[in-house]
Amino acid sequence: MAIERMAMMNIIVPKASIFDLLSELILQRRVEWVDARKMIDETSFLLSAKVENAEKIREFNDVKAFRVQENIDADKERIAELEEKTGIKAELNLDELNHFRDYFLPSKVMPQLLEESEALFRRIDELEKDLESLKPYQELAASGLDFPVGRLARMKNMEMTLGWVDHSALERLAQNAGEVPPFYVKLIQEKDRSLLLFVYPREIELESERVIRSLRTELVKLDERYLDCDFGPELEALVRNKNEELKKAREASIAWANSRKSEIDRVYSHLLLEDALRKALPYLGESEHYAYLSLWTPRSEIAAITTAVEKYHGLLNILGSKEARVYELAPTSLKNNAFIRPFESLVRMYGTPAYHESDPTTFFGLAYMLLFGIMFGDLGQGLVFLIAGLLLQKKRHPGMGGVLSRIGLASMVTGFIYDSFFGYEGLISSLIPLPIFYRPFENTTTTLLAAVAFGLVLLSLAYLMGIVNKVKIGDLREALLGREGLAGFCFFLSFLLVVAGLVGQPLLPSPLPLILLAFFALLIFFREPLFALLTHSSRLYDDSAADYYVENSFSLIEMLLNVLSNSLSFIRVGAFALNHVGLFLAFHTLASMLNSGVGNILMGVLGNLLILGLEGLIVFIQDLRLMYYELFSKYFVGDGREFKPAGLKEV
Amino acid sequence: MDKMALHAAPVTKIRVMQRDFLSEDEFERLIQAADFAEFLQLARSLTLFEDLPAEASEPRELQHYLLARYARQIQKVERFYPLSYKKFFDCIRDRFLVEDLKRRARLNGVLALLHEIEDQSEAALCTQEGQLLLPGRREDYLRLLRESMVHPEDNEFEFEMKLDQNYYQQLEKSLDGLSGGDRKTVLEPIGLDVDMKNLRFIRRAKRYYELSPSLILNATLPGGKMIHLDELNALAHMSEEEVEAFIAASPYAEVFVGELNSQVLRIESFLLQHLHRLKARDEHSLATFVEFLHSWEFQYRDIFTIMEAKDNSSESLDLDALVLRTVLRHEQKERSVADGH
Repeated sequence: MAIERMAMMNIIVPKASIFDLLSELILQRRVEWVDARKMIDETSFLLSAKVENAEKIREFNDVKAFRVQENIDADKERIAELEEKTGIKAELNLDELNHFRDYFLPSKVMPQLLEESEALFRRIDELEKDLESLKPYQELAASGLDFPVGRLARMKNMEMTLGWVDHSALERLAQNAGEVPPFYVKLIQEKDRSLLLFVYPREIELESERVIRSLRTELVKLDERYLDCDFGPELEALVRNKNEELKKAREASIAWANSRKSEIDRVYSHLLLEDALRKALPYLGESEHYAYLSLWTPRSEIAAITTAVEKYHGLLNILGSKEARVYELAPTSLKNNAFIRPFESLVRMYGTPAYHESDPTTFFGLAYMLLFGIMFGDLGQGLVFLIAGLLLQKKRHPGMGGVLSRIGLASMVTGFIYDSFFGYEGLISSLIPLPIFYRPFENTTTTLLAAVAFGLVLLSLAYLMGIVNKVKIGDLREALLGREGLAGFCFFLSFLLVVAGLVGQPLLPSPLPLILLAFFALLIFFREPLFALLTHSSRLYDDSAADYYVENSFSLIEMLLNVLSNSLSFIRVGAFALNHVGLFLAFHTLASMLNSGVGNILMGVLGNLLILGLEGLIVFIQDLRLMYYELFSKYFVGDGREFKPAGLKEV
Repeated sequence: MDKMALHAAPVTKIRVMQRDFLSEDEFERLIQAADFAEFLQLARSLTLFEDLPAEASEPRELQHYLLARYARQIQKVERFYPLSYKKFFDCIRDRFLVEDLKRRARLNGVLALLHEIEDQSEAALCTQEGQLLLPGRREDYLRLLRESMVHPEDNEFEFEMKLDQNYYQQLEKSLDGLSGGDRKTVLEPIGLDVDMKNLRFIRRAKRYYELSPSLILNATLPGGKMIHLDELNALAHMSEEEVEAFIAASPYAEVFVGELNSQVLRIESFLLQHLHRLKARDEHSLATFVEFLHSWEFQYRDIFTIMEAKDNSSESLDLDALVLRTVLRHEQKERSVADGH
């Protein structure tokens, strides 16, 4: 379990080389930009006072923001349009960028691509518009209209209007049909509206149109080109021909796009690089001759970046994370092995580990798997989760897929021990008779007690990790005397001793556990003044004494309740283990009541599906709750920020 | 029990939000303010304006502040209701857009309004000159105009009627998401509102626009409580005097007296009184929220009227006749005098 060690690098490079250096860093290295001008202001850009650095030092005073390049959004939109119209997907070609980088390529190639595609796309647009214009005609044909509308539209003394009118307006029109100037006929009736054909003399066009508008008519415009088309075979043939032409036009554009795929990919790749460069530029500074950049990078990248900077005749200085902490906290880059890595997403849901904290992922992953396995132990159901997880990993969700496959595996292991295969107990032991099987439902008390005991072990580990973390960040007071520190841990252990005595299993003679409990409670209660005295500090309290004691009184009661609830909380692990069996028993009972082979199978399948879906989700969430609330609160703060390396962001 | 469970939390919330309403004394002080500066100073001391930014100094800014607060108040209560109620609450929020569109059409004309909203960019519409009442909702303004089939050749009257028709149609559709009881509760005031709007339309159409009966009928709103299509058809064909006689004999007689401006206030007063009665009849119903929203809206309009008057230094303007709160107060006095006799 590891958080990658990071370093901050401050680089000065001749302006002529800045884009090459930036490109190399973006494409080949893992770097996160830092505001260079801020670093210069805070004098972390240290250069030794040598003759060769004189110019660079002199230009420090003139550093200003790097000018952002012109907008490339138009080119990006054109690529998107091209993709939409042709159906091809532009792809990133890293090899091209690493070896044949040409910052002017988009401006050279794009106009050519646009010129070639323009005619093709225009044809597609025209045909689509034509088909759209033919839709009203198709609707009229579907309504049973069988006379050429063209004759109505070209009447000398009469005018014709088509429009959709909603039914409440139609009601009103019907009321005064005899009085309104336009004659109308209903052509199509839909649920909320009807298509009406209005006909009226041109002399009263104004008044008629006013009446039509007063009905809030949605006018239907008929394309003049097709007015003479009859609604029978001619219209059908026209639509069919247009569709065929459209199909051919689309095929032609796809063929063209495929023939130019490599150029399109090149332009796309270069646009992505340019976008990434533009995003980096606001972090840079520039003077007359030099560009200044600051970045965070894993220590493993330092050598390669140093080589690159030297290649472009630049200078750099490196700050370790501790030195850099004066200016900015290092970002966190988690580095776990492939087995544990999927659990990073669940850890990050709570918070990103701070740079100086221990990475909780391994402990989290293993504990999570164990707890899930205990609560959801079934060989068959675990296998389903494992397969589903593996499939999901391959598709789009490697994180969640990874988690699912691992908890499936855990479920399989415990399921084997529980002798449970898709809810049916006894199948496994009948095939592989071993003395290792344990059935939760036959040992309810043991299951519940064991769950609590396991929880206590996890809590103890959490306390210890919390103490280590606090020491790492230098908070000795909390490490020794805090609620989640050594004193808190001892309080917890004393509490367990008290409980052991109460249940008739005393590990220490009678008043001793209580004395210890009180002692550690007092230690925690007086931690601030105590620590101040131990470290000979002049200030006994961070704030006022009165506030301190009032707050800590309540805090003490809360601590006691927390210790009790945290310990008992793990009983749910046992409860879910029992519940898992009990739920299937219910389905089993229902199946036997059905008294049929098919019914039995169906009930078995239904039961498994329900348990996999519903109970699986509940256990997943409960497990997460235990990890976050009972355990993380002991040792994990999670107020770090994630390392987000600059890179090419595909849309 | 279901009804109680649904409405208990929002009703409690609304009780807390009553602090937004000005007392009679506070209202009177705003009316008596000598100018806008004094109005602003008084306003800052009120709970309603507690979050007003320190730099706000123009009537427009106060207006936007009040509308933003109104939207927030709705949101606070909305979340207690099921998702199916959302469309209904959205419709209520649209009232402000509809009224703003009508007001701007009266000022600049329908054609100019259409061009303004369609052609200008979002940024231009937020300038002092082109500023929409609800900047940032340009798309909603356009949607309303498109749905209403507003035409550049519509006159102001036709424009308003189309907006109202579309609005009430959407409002009626939004009621489908409400529970049976709530739907029934809300249909009552909507029906009254529709009746009064229709009567007002018909009166205006005959008196000022001389529209033909068919045009008048086409423009009326569906969904009235007491006046249905047959009566509307008859009214559309009646003479002006016959229409007045019909109104005088109807339950809405008291509303349609006096000048046009006071008529609008009387319609709102009638509606608000009805909502008060509905709320008193059953506090744990949607009537409480609707009553709260209307009261807030009417208060907003009153404050806006006073604000504009103070900003334009219109000392000669009789605010008492223009502000709903004072109209209601006079009516109450008249009623108590009548009851006393």
